Amino acid sequence: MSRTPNIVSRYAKRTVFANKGRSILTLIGIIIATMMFCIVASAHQCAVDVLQSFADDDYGKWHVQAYSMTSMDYQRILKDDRISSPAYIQEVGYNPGFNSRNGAGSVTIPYYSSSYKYMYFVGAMSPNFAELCDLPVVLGRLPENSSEAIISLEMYSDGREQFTLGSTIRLDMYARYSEGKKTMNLQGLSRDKDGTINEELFAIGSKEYTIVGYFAVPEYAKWKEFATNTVLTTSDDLMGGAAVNAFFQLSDPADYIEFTKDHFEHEDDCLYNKDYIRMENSADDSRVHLIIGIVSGATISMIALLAIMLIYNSFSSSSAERLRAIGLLKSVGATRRQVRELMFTEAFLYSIIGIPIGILLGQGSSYLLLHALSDLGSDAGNYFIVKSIDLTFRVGYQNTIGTALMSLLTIFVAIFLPVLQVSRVLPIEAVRVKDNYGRGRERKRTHAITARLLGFTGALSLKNYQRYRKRYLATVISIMASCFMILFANMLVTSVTRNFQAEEEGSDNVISYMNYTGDKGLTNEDEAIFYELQGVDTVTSGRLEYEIFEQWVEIPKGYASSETDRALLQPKSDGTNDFLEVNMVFIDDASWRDICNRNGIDPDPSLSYGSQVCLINGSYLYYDEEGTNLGEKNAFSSLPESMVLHIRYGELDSLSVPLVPIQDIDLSKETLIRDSVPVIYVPLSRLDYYRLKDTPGLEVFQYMAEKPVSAIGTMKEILQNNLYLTDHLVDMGINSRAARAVNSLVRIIMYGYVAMLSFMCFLNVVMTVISNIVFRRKEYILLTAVGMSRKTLFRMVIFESIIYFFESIATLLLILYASLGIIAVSTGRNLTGYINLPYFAIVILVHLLVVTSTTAIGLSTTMTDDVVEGIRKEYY
Amino acid sequence: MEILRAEHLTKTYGKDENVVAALDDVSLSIEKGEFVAIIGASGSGKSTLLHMLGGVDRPTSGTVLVDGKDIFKQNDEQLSIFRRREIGLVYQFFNLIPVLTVVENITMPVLLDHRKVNQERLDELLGLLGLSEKRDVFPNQLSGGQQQRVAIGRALINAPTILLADEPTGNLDSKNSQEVVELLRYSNQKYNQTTVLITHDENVALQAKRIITIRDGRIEHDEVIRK
Repeated sequence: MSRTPNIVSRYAKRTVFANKGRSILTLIGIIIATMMFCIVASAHQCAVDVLQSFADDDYGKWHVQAYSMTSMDYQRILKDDRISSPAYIQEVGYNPGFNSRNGAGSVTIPYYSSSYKYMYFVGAMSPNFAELCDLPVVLGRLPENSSEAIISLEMYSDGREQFTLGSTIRLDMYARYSEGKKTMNLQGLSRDKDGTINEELFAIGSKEYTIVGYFAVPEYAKWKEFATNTVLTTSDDLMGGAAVNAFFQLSDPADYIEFTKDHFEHEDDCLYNKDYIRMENSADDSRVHLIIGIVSGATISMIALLAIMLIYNSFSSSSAERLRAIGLLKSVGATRRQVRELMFTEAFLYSIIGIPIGILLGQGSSYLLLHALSDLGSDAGNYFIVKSIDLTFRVGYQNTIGTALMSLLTIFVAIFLPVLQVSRVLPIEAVRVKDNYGRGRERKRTHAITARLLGFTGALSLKNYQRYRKRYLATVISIMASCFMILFANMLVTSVTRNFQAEEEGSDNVISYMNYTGDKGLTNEDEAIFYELQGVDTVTSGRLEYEIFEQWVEIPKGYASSETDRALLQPKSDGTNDFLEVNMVFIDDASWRDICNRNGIDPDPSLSYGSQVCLINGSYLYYDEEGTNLGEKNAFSSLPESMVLHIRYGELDSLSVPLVPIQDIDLSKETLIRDSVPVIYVPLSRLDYYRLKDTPGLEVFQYMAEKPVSAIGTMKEILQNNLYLTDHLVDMGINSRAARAVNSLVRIIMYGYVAMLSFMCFLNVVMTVISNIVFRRKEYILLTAVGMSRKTLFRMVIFESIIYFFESIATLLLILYASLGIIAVSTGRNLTGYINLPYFAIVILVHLLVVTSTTAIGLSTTMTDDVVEGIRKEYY
Repeated sequence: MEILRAEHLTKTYGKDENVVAALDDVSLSIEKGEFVAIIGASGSGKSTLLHMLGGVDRPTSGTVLVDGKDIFKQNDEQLSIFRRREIGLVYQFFNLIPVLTVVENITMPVLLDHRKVNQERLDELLGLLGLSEKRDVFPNQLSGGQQQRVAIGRALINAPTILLADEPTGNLDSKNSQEVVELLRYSNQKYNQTTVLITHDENVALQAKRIITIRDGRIEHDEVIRK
């Protein structure tokens, strides 16, 4: 049975192909919208993936941790089938360091003033513990049996002692009891409020381990008091009676609360890995995914809104031009449903062409964009204290289907009103609508002064503008929206990126190695390593600093001029001089000479007490609560020309030093002074002379390298070969590069997004401008037929476009300042300072150019010399 | 046999003081197979009357009965179906769809009804209209007379109960006008097609069997001039 040909869809098809100009503009709009939906969907997927990788890398993969439980309880809980992966550390014992190589409890490391050295915890970990708890081994390997152990970096460099790889550690082990009960605690002995230790230790024998590696305490664990000063060995079997710290990964993370309630009496017995659970979008208070969802939703809504405007304008002007055809169809018997079908068929045709092309282009662009941004992502990750942001493109069928559905929805929402209007067209319209210019016939009077001022053509333009104001609305909104988005995006980008600017300006090329030396002080071996690292390819200069903390100088009573200065002093009770804490920084000879030469100081002082050293006021970087760099501040406003320096370590109690203030020194960017402590710079050759050679301190190697990343790679090899910890080697340029990368990412993403949206607005402007011209085509032709020259006609139409263009700009200013006002009231942020006037002017001029040139081109292509033919010609 | 009856048809436009009556209490009856010409001055209400009779426009008051059924008691959907099955409309300005071919324009009412085109009737019509050679051309490739013949073909393809023609010769030269009137007369005779024609042209009107004169929205004169 042959099917009846569908005349409606045939008509729709031919109309689409007959109106090439409008169809192409509409198709481009649909393609761009779909492409952008696709890109946003990919970006959303990528952001979710990045969050997941952040979570995996930085938070460990467990959901619930239970403290100090018995091994029997642990084995009972393992029967719960909600657990997908369990891990544990079991208590082996504690070592307070009475007779070990590491003295316990006495040394304070000044930089980490809260990091007292605690009791060593010795634990046996289950085989999958390192993976589940993200325990990174920075040097060496994981222990393979119970005679091997790894130790935390803190134990390696506690300021006094050092366990090298392969060395043996013998620890006398103790069990801890509090109020007669055995306790498990990863920290030092607990104390009452008055400082009395409330735990007792009972010896349980000694253990010997071979150090096979060092681990860095995971970032999350640092804040949750897990495993610092820990020796970890391995165990396949649980030892009965010994306490267990258990970690559970659940099949469904959302079960974490129920799981805890089922197995533990008190919530305090457990710790949730809330950050990880949030990243997995399973926590009750998880907002990360919600925020990403809102951002993506807002981004998509903006695209959808513009696409709807574009498609709506296309269909609306198309239906306005086809009013007679639609009326005719109805007069010969087409039902409302058939008229709707006609429009839907057109929309469907646009969809089946535009959506697949948009998806293909969107996925291609997403791939290229993410590929191009991957380098920036790896740098930008450092800004967020993660290894890198891994921008991976993933084609998911959900994304593809979601994009297609979103595009379809956009198209059908856009055509809803025009379809409704068209289906309501009365058949009588076929007869009634004779000429378009018959519409909008309200009388508009032009004031005599205006008429005189504008001339005949100008007054006519003004009249036309008033008559067709409703039709120009779409154009006005499109121009306004385009300008608004470009200007607003520029302000937002400037505002966002300004926060990163200070960091952007930092040097990219500084590499630093920092290490607390312990009792051995700065050794010849350390110095040799410094020079070996300085010889690495592309390293252009290096400086060795050895900083010894907590020295004191005497300041004459009453010398401090300000409240801030006085707050830094330690008053002496006998009423003589006050003490000011200073740090001594010994600098390698070449750097010393360089500084002295630049400051006109004799670099070769006589080798006697009281010889020339340099004392400068230590400066420090100053941040506000939001982390904005407010610049540098001096720790102490002025110093006397000469003073007595008290040496805390070494064998000298005090010496008198003359001071030379240094001006031309830029150590502040290279040495972050966290405390408001002044610094004395001394040549390294004096270290031995002051008998401070074995004093514990901080050794800092600083290098300038042309290619810091490759230089760091070689440096790490050198350090590893010499059994130095590579973790102490820091790429100091990482922050500035990260800040720059974040800035670039923000700019590329926002400007790219706005560029695409603006392009859609431009299409809309072109579409509406041309539609208006086509709509009034007969009127223009008739005007030329009754004697108006083409030149005058062009002038009139262009003048009209300028009038509605200025209406757009007036609306723009109103909306722009209203938005800024709302932002200022609701967030307290004043963005008006970010308006860049030259940029503003350029944006406006470009838009004016687009509007006037489109008008001129549209008019010249529509106009015909054959008046009769021009009037007869129908546009369907 | 009465096929069409209009009772007290009134159509007004505007409100309050600005009310204009395009039709004022018009009643008439037309027998099956009649060829009626409606004449009158411009703005007298002839086209409005025609559109009411064809269900294209709704009256302010009054009824139109086709075959005894009040057509305005139908909803829009039913009225559309009624128009495509029972009414054939021919306009002065042809009103063809420019993106559809001659055959597609002619068969549109059938296709809108999701029915199969009767090829024999189509061929017969094309032959009658002298368009057999122009089946697949588009309207802009035809002369005015040919375009109007396509419009007549479209109006006749469904063998409608009533053919309504609104100044079908108004846009044509005398030769083409005569051909169109001949066509209308032929279909009236051959298919016993009830035909109502609006015209300004007295010569055209005189070819009808009955002439109704409208003036200021009222029937001024109704005369059967030929049996």
